[in-house]
Amino acid sequence: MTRYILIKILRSFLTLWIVVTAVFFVLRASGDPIYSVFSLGTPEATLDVFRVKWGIDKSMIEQYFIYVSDIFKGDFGTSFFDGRQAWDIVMERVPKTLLLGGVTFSISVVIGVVLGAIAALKHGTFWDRGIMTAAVAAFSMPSYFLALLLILLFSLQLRWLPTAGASTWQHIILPATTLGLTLAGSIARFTRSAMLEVLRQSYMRTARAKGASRFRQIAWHALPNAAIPTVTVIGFQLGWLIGGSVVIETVFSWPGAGRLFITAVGVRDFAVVQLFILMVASTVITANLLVDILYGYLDPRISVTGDSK
Amino acid sequence: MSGEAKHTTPAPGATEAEPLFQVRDLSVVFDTPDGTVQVVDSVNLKVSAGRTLGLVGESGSGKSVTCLAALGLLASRGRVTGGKVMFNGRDLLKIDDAEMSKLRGCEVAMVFQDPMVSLNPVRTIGWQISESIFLHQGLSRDAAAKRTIELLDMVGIPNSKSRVLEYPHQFSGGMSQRAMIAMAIACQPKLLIADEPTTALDVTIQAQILELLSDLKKELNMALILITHDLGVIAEAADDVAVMYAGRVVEEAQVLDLFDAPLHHYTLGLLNSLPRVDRKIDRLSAIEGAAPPPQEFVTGCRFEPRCGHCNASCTGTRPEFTDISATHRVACKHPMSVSS
Ligand SMILES: Nc1ncnc2c1ncn2[C@@H]1O[C@H](COP(=O)(O)OP(=O)(O)OP(=O)(O)O)[C@@H](O)[C@H]1O
Ligand SMILES: [Mg+2]
Repeated sequence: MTRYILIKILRSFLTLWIVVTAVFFVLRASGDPIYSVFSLGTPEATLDVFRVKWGIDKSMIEQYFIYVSDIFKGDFGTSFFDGRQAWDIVMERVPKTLLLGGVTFSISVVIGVVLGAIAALKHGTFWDRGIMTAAVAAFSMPSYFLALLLILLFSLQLRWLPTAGASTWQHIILPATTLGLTLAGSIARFTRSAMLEVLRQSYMRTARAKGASRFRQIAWHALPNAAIPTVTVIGFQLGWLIGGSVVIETVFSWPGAGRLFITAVGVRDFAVVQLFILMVASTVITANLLVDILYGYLDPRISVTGDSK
Repeated sequence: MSGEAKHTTPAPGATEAEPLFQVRDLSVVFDTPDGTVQVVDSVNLKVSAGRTLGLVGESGSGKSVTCLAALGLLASRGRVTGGKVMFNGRDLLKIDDAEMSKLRGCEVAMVFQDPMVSLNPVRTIGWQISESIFLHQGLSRDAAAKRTIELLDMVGIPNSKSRVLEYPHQFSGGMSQRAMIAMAIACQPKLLIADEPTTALDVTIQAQILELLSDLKKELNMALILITHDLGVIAEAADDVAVMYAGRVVEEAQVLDLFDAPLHHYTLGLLNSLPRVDRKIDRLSAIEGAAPPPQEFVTGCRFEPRCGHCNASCTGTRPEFTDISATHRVACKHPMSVSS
């Protein structure tokens, strides 16, 4: 187990390093940040002062080594704008993003798994068709479009819910619903097909032949098997969720890290953009690692210990 | 055994003379994308306590489907369209789900054809066996665990104490088969249906499993239905035999009568394809062609297209059973003893 996990962790660091490097160079290739801060008429002498101050006067390779070695010291650079540490600026926004992401993720998983399982158990009936039509609709609609629909209906038409900001608990409803509908839709589809696959298996007949009740057959025999592929898929949805929340935070002016990111990209605030992407990559990699561990725990056929035959 | 107390008493109608388990005129259809196909056609079977009925026939003849239908275990596309399944004086097709759950795994048990896929891959062998005990006998956790180990010993699984903690993928085919048998006999059923319990096992293990089943049958006074396509297995283990062809029973007899004086041409064909020390296989007398799929069943005698002894009377109407003796009957218009 430890060996397997260790290799995984080493690989994760390699991935992170590649991501950090790629982002570093792509950002710098995209243009000079100096012009997103200063207007064109600014004297070159002033610009040079700031180039030195921000460390972008040196060669790219030099900058890269300074950047990477600073990361190991826990220094992620300073923002070109307010001169504060990028870490402080991003971390200020992270709780709101975690709140939105956490609420969305947990509700979607519960709703998606329950509806998917119901659709599979009622295969071919009105329930199955109804749930799947809704799931496909939610899943295939672009989130910004869904966001606009919801805003039109619940904010402009009915005037029930606020559209921008995060000051009251009602503010989370629309962004979470927009993100969650899509997520729940895809989780429901995966759960349904995993469950259908399991229900066809011979061991389900064995459970029936033993005299297990319908509930017992599902809860104790089918679900633990259906969980194996479902967990993987849900784990991978996390990356999607982060991507989606960047869009949704912007649409609903949700003061989270995603919206900060969009702003920072617009003005080429290198340190903030780099830190945000580093954090997203770490989150996705950690989630995949957790999925791997959970997978080995759920499926006894996967030998994570490496010591079974 | 505390399980004994939970066994239901026979309904008032049941008498000693009546067989414990009786399938009467059972018909089964499957709804397929190409329409409905009848896979089992008015099948009759019976078996008494302490006896073994061998159910034999080529692949696809409906042996498994008949037994699955009788226990209400058909896949969702399958339907019983007629008949009765009498067990201990009760019709299993009429009792409700809750009643059936109480019977299944307790008084009637089945060992499925493919043990490797019939075990749940994410549960330990011990968990799966003790579940039967837990469901029907209400033993404590410890007592159930102890009984599970006893059962594994009984079916000849070595190191039972450590093997209860293993998962199905750690079990070989033969061991899975034994584990399935242990699961089936956990509550000392009155009727055990074993579907091809020895196919795909090597000969020594085959013999061991057959011996195990016949020991258990004697020990528990079970009625045993042994499904196979191997007449060698029948010769070794059965008391009575029903021969199935294309969804119908074509001949019923006690095992010696069947081997000494087969009446149906299909039975003879099966016997002739059986290798024997005292006779070389006569290729010419082995059955030509292959068993038809249900879509190609003919209306008269279903063996007619492959039979060398038929005439015009064989087509068109289903051959009725002729009783040759109290225990021997055949559904053929020109049975062996008459035509040869
Ligand atoms: N779920 C199903 N859907 C459609 N047809 C089925 C289904 N299960 C079985 N059949 C058909 O029913 C017929 C009888 O099958 P069955 O499994 O009873 O044969 P068998 O005598 O047990 O053969 P074998 O020796 O191969 O086990 C076959 O033609 C098979 O194709
Ligand atoms: Mg079969």
